[in-house]
Amino acid sequence: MGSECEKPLVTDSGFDLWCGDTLCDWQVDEGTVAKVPTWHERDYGVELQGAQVRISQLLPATSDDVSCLHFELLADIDDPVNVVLALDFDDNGSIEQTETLANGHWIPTEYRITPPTYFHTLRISITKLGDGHAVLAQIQASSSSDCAAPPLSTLDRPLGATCESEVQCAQGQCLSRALAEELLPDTGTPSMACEACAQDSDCAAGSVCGLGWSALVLEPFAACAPAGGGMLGDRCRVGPECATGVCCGGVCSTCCLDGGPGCSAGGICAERARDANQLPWRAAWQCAPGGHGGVAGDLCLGSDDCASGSCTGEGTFSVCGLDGRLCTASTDCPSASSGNSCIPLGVAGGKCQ
Amino acid sequence: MNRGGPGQTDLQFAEDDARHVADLLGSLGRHRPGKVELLLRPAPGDVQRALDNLVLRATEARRLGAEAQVLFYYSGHAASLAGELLVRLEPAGTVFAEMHKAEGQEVLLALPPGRYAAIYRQAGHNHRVRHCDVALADGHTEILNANSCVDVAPLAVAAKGIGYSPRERWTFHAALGASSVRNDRFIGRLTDFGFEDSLYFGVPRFSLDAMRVVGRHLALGIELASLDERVFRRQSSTTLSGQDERYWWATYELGAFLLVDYSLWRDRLVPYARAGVGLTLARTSYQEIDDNTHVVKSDDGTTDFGYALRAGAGLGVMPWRHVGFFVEANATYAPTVDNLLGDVHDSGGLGLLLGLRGAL
Repeated sequence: MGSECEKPLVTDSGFDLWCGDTLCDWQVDEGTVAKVPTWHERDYGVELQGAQVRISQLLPATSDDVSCLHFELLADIDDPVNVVLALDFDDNGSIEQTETLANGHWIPTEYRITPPTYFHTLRISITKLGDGHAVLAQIQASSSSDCAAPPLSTLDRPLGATCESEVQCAQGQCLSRALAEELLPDTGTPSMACEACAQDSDCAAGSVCGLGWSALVLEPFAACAPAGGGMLGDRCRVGPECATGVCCGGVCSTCCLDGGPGCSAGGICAERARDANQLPWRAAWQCAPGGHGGVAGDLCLGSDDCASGSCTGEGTFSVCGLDGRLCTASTDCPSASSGNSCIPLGVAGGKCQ
Repeated sequence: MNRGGPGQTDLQFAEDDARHVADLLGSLGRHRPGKVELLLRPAPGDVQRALDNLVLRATEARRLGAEAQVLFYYSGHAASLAGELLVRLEPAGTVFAEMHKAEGQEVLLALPPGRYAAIYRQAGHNHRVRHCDVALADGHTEILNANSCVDVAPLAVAAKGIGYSPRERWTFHAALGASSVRNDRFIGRLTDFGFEDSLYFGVPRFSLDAMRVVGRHLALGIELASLDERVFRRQSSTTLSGQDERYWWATYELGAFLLVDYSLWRDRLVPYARAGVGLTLARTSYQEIDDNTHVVKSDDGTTDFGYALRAGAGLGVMPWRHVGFFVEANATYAPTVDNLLGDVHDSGGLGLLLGLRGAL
């Protein structure tokens, strides 16, 4: 079965948990099943009884954590019977992949399937067609890393979802994902995403092609945003969407080392310090952040940015730690349980007094 | 002249031979006349009395610190004695010898503390002296064939009132060892079903056996041995079922075997080979264990039976007469543990045993 490095995805992969006459963790969609012994009286398998039987299970798998699916099956299938493993990504009734199990007496079979680059859930099903004996003893699916085939295709992907062609996007276009759209800039693995705009001209007056967010996808994507609407510390794609006019490293900043505006004499442009958990992943660039150098009216995130020791604004400015979207609570953040919790960053729209 | 019994011819020179040996002991052996006793045509009981006297004299000599050496020569028909001579080295170092059986004209002479010479006469041959290089221990009795010096099967001497036991007749082995891990179709099936082997080294074994000597180089024995013990687990972390499963079995063998050995270096090295058959019993257990509480939810035990064929070769090392060591390499075929799919696991394999060897 799967190696130690592979994370199993199927609950009760050995069909050992029975609630009366049916499986506890599998859904019997069609036909009847029965508990039968396999190699040992106490190691059960599921017999698919009748000419047409279907069982299925919804797996807690998404494209964020599975880039390769490794299936291992063990079954006892008579010759005339057809047993098929089917994969329905996003559980929308559309089968993206089928594999026919080999007929034979307890023959181990394995498949490696490259899933779509975007999916948020996966339903696997086993379907038996034809009269005859068919018993399943194991169906293990695990997250692996050694798939060679190109990814499967799915349609109707939301904005921000990874894509390979425009037809996969429910709206917008499939474009190269800018570094500012990634959670962390990664020049080594370019990817494409369903984007709402490609340039400012795609947007209405007063808007620029900046960053947008979807509750379904962690990464931001190109979308029309109000010009100058981004506060200091906000995630951005281009400078015009920031109130400061500077988008440095994907964050609205007051200065930037990488070709952006510098600081006045004596000031050093630096990233604002992160918290103990090294969040947020992307931090604002400021002139001497926390150095008490700001004069009255200068933009600030904390009182330590101001010579007066007072930074006031519109309340607390919080972002999701990993993706940097604005939030008021962790429920606003996708995958909050995986570290993307809502953290206070400073003063919203703060200015030194 | 020694007259033969029914069916026997007279031995014309038997008495002359005895005189000859007595003379030789006096002349060449330089034994004083009083130290050599010659019995011609002894009456019943004369030999025993002479031997008793000999023992007393040897005992007394030993007590006084002298070295006692006893030589016993017999010439003539000994149909009633027939075949072997019993020699015993007493704890005090005295020698007790009795012509128990002497066949034809063969006689054994005991030369303590452990060298023997057999002098015999055959038609057309002169006297011969044969040295038997056999170690004797105090308080033990040896029965040797006068011709070959080899051990012979014990005789019903108890009926004659001779309190002796033959040279070591029993050998015992107690050993621990390891055997190779056999991964056959049965094991492959367990792997197919998601079980993982919990042993990554040789399977520990023990072996106890007892052998009865039935010939100079041959022994018959019985053996109790553990052949195989394996534990396979299927973890909840792979099945996501909330329960760990544990399948375990242990296989034992009770068998009989034949052993052929050849003692070297005064019995201190005993290379041997053995082969045998036996019955095997395997106890299996299938447990379901709660992943969180580690409570055993169910334990389904079964017993499987089979047979075993076993062969091996080893070397006994006996630094002491009764206790030593041995090492043995063996190969066993023992199809015993089976499953519902018809696979049978061979609990045998190649093994190595290291243990204690006792001889009584």
